[in-house]
Amino acid sequence: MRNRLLAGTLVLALTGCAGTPRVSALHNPLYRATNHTSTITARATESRDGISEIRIEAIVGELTACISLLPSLIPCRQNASVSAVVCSFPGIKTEVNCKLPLAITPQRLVTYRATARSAKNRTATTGSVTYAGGAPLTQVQIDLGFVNFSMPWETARPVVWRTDAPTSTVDRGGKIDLGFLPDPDMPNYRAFTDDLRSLARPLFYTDANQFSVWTRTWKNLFNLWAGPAGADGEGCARTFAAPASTVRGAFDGTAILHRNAFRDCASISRGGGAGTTQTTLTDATWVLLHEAGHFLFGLGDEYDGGGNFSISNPLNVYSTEAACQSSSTANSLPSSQCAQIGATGTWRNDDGAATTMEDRVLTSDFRTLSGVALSNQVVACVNGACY
Amino acid sequence: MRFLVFAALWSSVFMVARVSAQTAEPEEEETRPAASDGGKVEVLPSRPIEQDADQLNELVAAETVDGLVLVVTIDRASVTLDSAVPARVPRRLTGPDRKIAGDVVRTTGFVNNEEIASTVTPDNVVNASEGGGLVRTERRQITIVLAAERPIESVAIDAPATGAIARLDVRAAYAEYCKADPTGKWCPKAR
Repeated sequence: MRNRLLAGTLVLALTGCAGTPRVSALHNPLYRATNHTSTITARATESRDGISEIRIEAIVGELTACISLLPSLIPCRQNASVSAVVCSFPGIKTEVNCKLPLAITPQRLVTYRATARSAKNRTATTGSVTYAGGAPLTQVQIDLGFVNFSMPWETARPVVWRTDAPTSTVDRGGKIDLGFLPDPDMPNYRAFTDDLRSLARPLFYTDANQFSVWTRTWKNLFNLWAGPAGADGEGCARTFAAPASTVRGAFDGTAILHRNAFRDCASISRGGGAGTTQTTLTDATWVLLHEAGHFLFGLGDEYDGGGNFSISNPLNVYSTEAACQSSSTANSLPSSQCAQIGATGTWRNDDGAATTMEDRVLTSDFRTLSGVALSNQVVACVNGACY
Repeated sequence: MRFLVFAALWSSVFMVARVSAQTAEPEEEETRPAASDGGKVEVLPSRPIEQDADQLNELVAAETVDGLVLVVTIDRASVTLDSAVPARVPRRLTGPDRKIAGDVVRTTGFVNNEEIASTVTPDNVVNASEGGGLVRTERRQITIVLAAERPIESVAIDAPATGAIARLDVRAAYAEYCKADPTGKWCPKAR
């Protein structure tokens, strides 16, 4: 029944959209804290009538800590201007693209969106994405009216910040704010931002493996942020010094990116956790997602020798077989699939396929009870409050 | 069952977007606007935006509130204040009714023993060490975000996971504001 409903919906979605362009846009590099050229690339397809135009509009201004008595953890913008490029095509029915390069200088904050128009004048527009670039803000001037003073200040640095105006039903609570901080073992901040790009682009956009299907499908639920130095991870010991310690107050979860080899570790948390990811691993993107399973979604390890404890909704690891069976039944999963994790005395629902909280393979995904937990997370976000 | 069907519906809608998202972005940096497939490129003149008309600033104003960012180290039963910084903070991170689970740190802000703010924050005691099993980090650092429209004088921290309870004086967080304007809104001494 569910399969028929899904197939029917898919057919409806596809036929209902016939003639409407498909459009996506992404900036490259995702984040760099130095002067550079940032290129926004919009891609569009409409196979019936063809694409006649892509328009990219970018608002570029100076990143500020917002002008009020108290500086903000989340940036504002001043002295902004709109740049736009229009690419015209003769109704091309295969994918076309349009590129808008921007010169990124210190403390830039860019918001962009792209609109594609078909030859039959139907349009589609991407959501607004905001990102920072150039040397970051490090100081703020507080204006008390008759007296001013300055103090050190850093904001969270948006990498992919979804900044469509909130509606009556969707606000920022409907996003998962994932922050990245550099470990001291990064050679420099550029190495950190390069590694961040190497992880975030495949995980949310370009990878073609099964493990990243969930994040690529639901990428619009995530805001990605970079933060300043100050974090230090080593095994499960994590410390945060200023300014990173303050800036991470804007994050739902914090990934400390490091290059030295040590056993990665993450808190089992929902909304405020942290973990580490070694960026030099060949499967670092998978490792990041696995660790995020712990520190963003409260999932436990489902392998023998891991952290077999869960606070997800529903739990993906249980202390008794009966509890696993009960939860499985409640979540429309075969209770007969409940299996002990080694001889740990903890239990999970195992359908035999590779799952991301157990199997370190790129063909894994979030399955059975961890899959249900992530579906619940999506519903919570879509309903306006991820946490 | 309902959420599975709901999620499946959403998945199907997003499937089209997912396919296009898999297209790899180029690694090289462009220096001039460009169009593929021989398309024509028109660059429109840049035009300024008034600060008040910048929707990003409206968004941030709507989603942040005045508050205090606390960083504390909880070491078993002891609590140490690492930093306290007045700031505009994300509104959604400040409430006592956040949907978090597991061990939590409850924080309450006071002015003259009057409770003016409270929040709940995950207490990252339980960790999954890859290949190492569960690790309890009884010494951990927690960042706490409180909403407050006036200076908080003290905070009560309660971390049941390790039996930590403390009352911390945070008036020093506003020292720069007091130094600049001893009678201002953000100087506790002025109250």
